[in-house]
Amino acid sequence: MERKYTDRKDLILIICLLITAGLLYLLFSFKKPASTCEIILDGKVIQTVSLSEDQTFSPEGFPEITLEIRNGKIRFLSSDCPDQICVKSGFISHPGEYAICLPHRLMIRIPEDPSSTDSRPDAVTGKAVPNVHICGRIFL
Amino acid sequence: MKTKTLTRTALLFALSIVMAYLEHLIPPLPFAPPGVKLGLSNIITMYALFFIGIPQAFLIAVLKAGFVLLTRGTIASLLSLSGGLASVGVMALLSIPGRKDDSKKLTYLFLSISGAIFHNLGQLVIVYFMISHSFLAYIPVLIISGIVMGLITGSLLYLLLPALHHSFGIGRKGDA
Repeated sequence: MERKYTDRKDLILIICLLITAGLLYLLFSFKKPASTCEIILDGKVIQTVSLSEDQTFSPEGFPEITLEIRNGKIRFLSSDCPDQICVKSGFISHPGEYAICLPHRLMIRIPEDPSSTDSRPDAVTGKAVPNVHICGRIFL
Repeated sequence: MKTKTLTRTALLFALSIVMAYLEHLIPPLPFAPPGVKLGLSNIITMYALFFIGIPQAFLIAVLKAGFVLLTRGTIASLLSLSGGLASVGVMALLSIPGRKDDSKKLTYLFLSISGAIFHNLGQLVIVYFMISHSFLAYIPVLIISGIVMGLITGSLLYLLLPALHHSFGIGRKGDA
C-alpha cells in the first residue's frame, strides 16, 4: 500500500504542535525581566525606578511633574510646562527610548543594558541593534 | 552504491539546488515573520528519503551544506547542515513505523510537518551557540511556520510524485 497523503493523525499532530507553541509563547512572555527607567536631570541620573510596579509619582524635586508607570511602560502623565511635548511623547518601554521635558531639563530614559538579550551591538557603529534585524540575515 | 542509485542521488541533489534557486525567485510573503522560508528543496530531500534511501537523503543534506559553504559562507552552511540533518533524521525515524505494517504508515503531511519543524529547530541549535541565546523565544514562531511550510511542501511533494516517479523511472516494472 502506498503512503497516504493525510489522515486523522496529522490533525492531532498539528493541534499538539499549536498547543506547544502557545505554551512556549506564554512561558517566554512571562520570563521577560522587569526593566527599569532612569530619571535624568541635566544629564545626570537622579533616580532609577522599576517598571514592574504600576504607580503614579512625582520625580524628586519636581512636584509639578507626574510620571505614570503602567504595564511595564512609563510616561509623563502631566507637567506644567507650556509645550507639553513630554506628555505628548506618550509611553516608552524599550531600551534606548526616552521622553524629555526640556523646560525642566528632565529626561526619562530606559537604559540600554549591554548584557540585555533584546539587542546586540552593531559590529561597526557599536550601537545596539534589535535582534529582529539579524533574523532575516541568518535564517537565509 | 549501485550506479543507478548514484545517478539518481546526484540528479536529486542537482534538483534540490534548483529548488533552492526557484524559492529565491519568489518574493517573500508580506506577513511572514523574518527569516521564515518555504523550504522547497525539502521536497527533494523527502523524495530521496522515501524512494531512494535514508543514507542518500542524508548525503543530499550534507552535499547541500557543502554547496552553501561555497556560495554563502560558513555560518549559512552550518545552518543548512544542522537543519538538514535534523530534518532528515526525524523523517527517517518517522518513516520506520509502517515499514512492515502498512496501516501504521504515517502520512506525507505528518512527515513533512515534522521535518520542517525539526529543520527550524536544528538551525536554532547553531543560532543558539554561535549567534545569540535570545532566539529561544523564537521557537513558537518556528513551530507555527514549520506547520505552514510543512503543509505546503508536503502537498507539493504529493502533487509532484507522478512527475518525479516518471523522471526517475521509479515504480516501473523490473525496477528496484
